[in-house]
Parts: sequence; structure tokens; C-alpha cells
Amino acid sequence: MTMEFDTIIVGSGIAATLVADRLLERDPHASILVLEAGERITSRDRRSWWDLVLHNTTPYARTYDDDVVGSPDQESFSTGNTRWDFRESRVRAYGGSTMHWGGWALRYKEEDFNCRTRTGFGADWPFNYDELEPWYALAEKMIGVGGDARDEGPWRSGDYPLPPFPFSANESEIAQAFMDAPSPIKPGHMPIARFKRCMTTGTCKYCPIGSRYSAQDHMDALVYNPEHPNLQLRTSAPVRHILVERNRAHGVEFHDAATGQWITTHGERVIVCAGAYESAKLLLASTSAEWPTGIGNRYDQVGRHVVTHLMLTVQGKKATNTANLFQEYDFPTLMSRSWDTPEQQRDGKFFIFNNRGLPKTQFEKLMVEGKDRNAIDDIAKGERMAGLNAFIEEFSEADNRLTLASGTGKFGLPAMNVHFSRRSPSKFLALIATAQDKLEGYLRQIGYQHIDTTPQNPRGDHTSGVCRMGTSPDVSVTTGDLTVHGFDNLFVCSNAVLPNSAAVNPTLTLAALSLRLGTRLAAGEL
Amino acid sequence: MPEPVMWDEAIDPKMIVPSGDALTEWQMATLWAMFVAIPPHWKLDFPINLLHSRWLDMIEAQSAGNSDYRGEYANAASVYDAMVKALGENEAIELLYGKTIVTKPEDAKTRLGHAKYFVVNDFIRCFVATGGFRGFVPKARNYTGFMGGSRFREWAPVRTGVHK
Repeated sequence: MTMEFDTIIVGSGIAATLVADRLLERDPHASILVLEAGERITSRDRRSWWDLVLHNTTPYARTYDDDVVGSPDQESFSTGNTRWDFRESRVRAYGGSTMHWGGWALRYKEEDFNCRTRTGFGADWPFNYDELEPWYALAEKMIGVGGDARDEGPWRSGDYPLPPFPFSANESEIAQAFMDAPSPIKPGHMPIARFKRCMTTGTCKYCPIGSRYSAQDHMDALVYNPEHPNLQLRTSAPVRHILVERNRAHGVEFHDAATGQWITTHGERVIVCAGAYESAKLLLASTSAEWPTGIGNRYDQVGRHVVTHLMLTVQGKKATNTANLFQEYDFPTLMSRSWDTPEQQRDGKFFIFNNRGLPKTQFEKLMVEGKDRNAIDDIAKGERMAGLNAFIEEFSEADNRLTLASGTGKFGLPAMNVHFSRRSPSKFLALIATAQDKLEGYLRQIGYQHIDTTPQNPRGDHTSGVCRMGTSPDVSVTTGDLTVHGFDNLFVCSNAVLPNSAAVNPTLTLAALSLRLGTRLAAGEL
Repeated sequence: MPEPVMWDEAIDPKMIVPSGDALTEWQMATLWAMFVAIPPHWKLDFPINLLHSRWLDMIEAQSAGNSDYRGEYANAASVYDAMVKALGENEAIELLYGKTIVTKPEDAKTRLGHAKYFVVNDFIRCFVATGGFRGFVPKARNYTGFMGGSRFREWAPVRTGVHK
């Protein structure tokens, strides 16, 4: 069975959706096939929402990677000297990881685009921040970001489309601690893509009213628009091979789970928007006589430079909580970019944000456990906890890489290894200690006694680098136009192309890149 | 030997398979009577009737799909009714909300255990999330699961401090 389309998009997350949106904006009759390996998760479903409120379960948990060592279902393997965690870091379903994301929508800063030049580590982008700024602005508008333009950050051509959420009472106290510290830092408001209709339900893992931006909701609006007769979406359709002839892609081969058939689809161009891991895996798996080690991999670059930022969590406690405070949002509104600066870049930047879960009083849990009113009041007004977290930037290294493992995992996707080893663990530990001192200091400033510090393992949430952009094919996989080096009709548009992970969440940057790619394709510039 | 009471009857910890019938008016009224007992049991001054539509939404959402709670709801209504008849309302409520604690599914080994684990615990969570948290902290504005946050920014959805 064969099919033909102008554009084949692999994946259905935010990148796929925004590229498709731009193509259809220019030409509503554009012929596009979107192929998603996972299934549709029901969005804005009352039962799913009640399951989260009552039992803390989500409908997408089954799509998470199985990375339990020794499990017969293990599909993701960590092989370096530093454990790499996969579980709960991405959603493999229609809508991709926007089905579980927190909506944090931060821009990279100017210096992040010149990481190699400024630090001697990692890589430079093939273009600078100024090139991406208009696309950041458009992305913020399209996904509805609320923020405060007066906060620290890169230069902006305009205000945020929506105002920020106010700090909670607890966050207001920590903001004061930032300002009163011996080396003061500036509090800022977390830019969040969920403001327009947000009813602050506190259940951001599964929004019952579709106010947090979700690629599924956006793509559904495109697919079910009768003015888009040639847009087709197929779920449960993992792509296993990109078909190329010399330096042109001419289609893909995918599995139709409903019929068990392998289907070949031809297209004028192929855009791989399959997330960092799957984008690299698909290029590696697409071997041929001309590309024996995978498409775009002549210089053995696909999968290399895997990197993310580590999360550090610091918690403190006070003896009493007389104001009876508990965290009323399920997302942080307080953050600071005062250590996400050019001066800090050489040592590794860090981005500070409030622990969204603290202080915590779970009245329902205490009631279920049989506590009476007096006991609950005592607990609620007793010990009070607060926490600060930081993402700490790491630099990519060529030896850290993603490779294919034998066999397949869920959804027919290839299993993988991620080899991640720190070349200078002691240096990185010193950076963690510096960040820890600062976070503990801010909490101490307002009377919290330090109780716990946890540097978490690197995780897959913000993985980047594995098909990184660059000007030369011997150190990168894609160009600044997001074409795979040597091709003019094969693109990668996922976090895989980001040359570095910086210190902040990458989704807004990916959204900006996607809008830039989609607009330029629609205009015939590429 | 005293006659064994029905709520102590041993049953499999697995969720009770529902008959497929809709809950009766009597069952719904009995379940609601259990729910409205929450504020007085915890000495909370809270107008629980305001939560009726949210409670109904929960019952309806849980009464379908793969984990259909109707079998558990029917059991809980029968258990509560039997306890009220045998012990009186106050003691029945005390047994449901105070003396019986079941926090793991494998411990739901009796009819009362099922009522507690599958129904009463959910009622408590529903009560707190839909507004009952204000019974404990009247000044609080928001809580996980609370659908009351305003779309209008003139009214902060949470308690705020000096810095906004």
C-alpha cells in the first residue's frame, strides 16, 4: 500500500503542530500527513481529571519509558558513569510531551547562542538570538504565555501577550529573601503558557478545561477544520525508516497498528518532529547502501552530544506555620535568572525556581488516615517546609551519545542506550555545591533550617544535542535551516537540534524554531 | 456468639463488579447522607450543600468506564444503611470516618473495608478538593483540584503577600 503527500511530518507534538499550522495558514489545501507512533489520550476528560484528583493517576502514564534495570520490558538503557533517567520524562502519544508539560515557557538568553565561543565548551548556534527573537514573540502569542517583561531575561521586542500570575504568599516571602541576601538576586515571574482560560485548578498534569497549551488540542483544531481537506493524522503509526535516494528523502515506511501492515508513503519533503530521542533514533535506523550508518551520519554525529541540565532540589523547614500557608498553585510563579548570566556561563549557569509543592498540607490525606480536627490543625500550623530548585547547565561532549539498542519497546519504537559520563565530575560537583550554598542561603534568610539537598539524575525531559545544528557536517547533523546536512528536503525539528541545553526549559525555543521553519517552508524559502 | 454483621462480611479486595444498572434514588440519597456527614465529623463550619453539583459530577464520572464504581457505591450504601439501623447514625459515621482506616487496596477485605477504601476515602478527597479546604483555613483561596480560580486577574486566585 502506498500513499502520497507533499509533506510528511513524523510526530505530533508541539513542533509538528506549529509547523503544520504555518503550512496550512499559507495554504489551507496543503497536503500533509502527520504520523504519530502513540495513541490518542482523551483530552479534557472528566473521568481522567477525577482520577487525578482522587487517585493521582494520569491516562498517559502508560506511555512513559520503561527504564527499570533488569525488567523484561526495559527499552531505555543508561550506560555511562552517571545514571540517566528516562521514566516520566516524555509522553509518547498524540500531542507528545505537551500532554504532561507544566507550560513553563522561557526564552534562551543571547549568550546561549554563543556557548562555544564564550566558554570553550559545547557548541555555538549557527545564528544568534536576534534571528530567533521574532519567532519567540510569535510563539508566545500562539501558545498564550503570561509573564512580566520587566523581569530579567533576554531583550524582547514587545511585552508578553498576557500578564503574569501573582506570587503566592509563600513565594512573596522567598522573593523578599532573594532581595535581602548578601548577594541579592532579582525575583521574576515564571512565564507560563496556560493563562488565557486557566482556572488554577492545581491539576496541571491533566488540565480539565484545556487551558494549558496542548499540541493535541491545537492539532485537533487543524485536523477537524473543513478548510484543511488534505491534512491527515494517523496515530499508532510508528515510522521505522525514512526512504532516501542519494541526497533526497522521498518518503517513509510506517507500521499501521490497526491492520498490521507496513505502509510506504511518498512525500516531497519529510520533517522529523519526533522529540529528541526518536528523531536521532529514526535517522540511525534509516540505513541504506548509501547511508550504511544512518541518514546524515556520514561523520558519526547522529546521537552524539546528548546533554540536559541537572535539577537540584533544596528543602528547608521552620518550626511553625502560624499563617497556615500551603502552596495553592500547582506551578511555581517565582523564579530568578540572576545566575543565568553571561558572567556565570563559563562555570555553568543555573536557573532558580520555587518548589511548586511546598509548603504542603494534605488535609484529605490526614482525614483518610483518621486524624481528628485537633490533630489536623496542629499539623497544619506546625512544621512548615519550603523548597527551591535549580536547573544547572552542563556542556555537551562528543562521547556522550545515544545509540540504538537491540529490539523494540512500546509502540514499536527502537530500544536505546544513552551513554552519559561526566569527564570532570569533581568540577561539576563543585558547581552543585555553589548552587546549593546559594539556595540554602535564600531559605536561611527567612528562617528556614536546611533539611535536604538532592541533585537529581540527568533526565530525558529536556534532552538535546543529538542532532544538533551547526555549520559543518563533521561536528553537527543539521543546518541552521534544520535540514539534515547534505539534504534539501529532509528536516529535523525537535529538541534534538538544540546545540546546548542552557539552563531553562527548551519548549518555547523549540516552538520558535518550529514557527520559523514552517513559515519559511510555506513561503518557499527552503 | 453474636450474629455476624453484614458489614464485616469478608469479600475479595478486588473492586466489586457492578450489575450495570444505574444507581437508584435511594442509593444516591444514602451516599449523599454519608457525604454531608463529613463537616460535622471534623467539626468544620462548611456549607456542604454548595458542593452537591461537584459531588454529583464525581459520582457520574466514576460510574462508567474500565473502573466502574457503581458496585462499590451500591455496597457502601447498603453498609451505611445497615450500620445506621444497627448502631444509629452517629456511631455509623464514627465507624466510617473515624474508626475504620483502609489506605491500601489489599486491606479492603470486608464490605466495610470496601466502603471505606473505594467510596469514603474518595468522598473525603472530593470534599477537600471542591472547597472543603476552606473549612480548615477560611482565608485560603485555592487547592489542588479546586475549580474556583478566577479567569479575571483583578482577583488573585491564591493568597498573596507583599510582592506580587
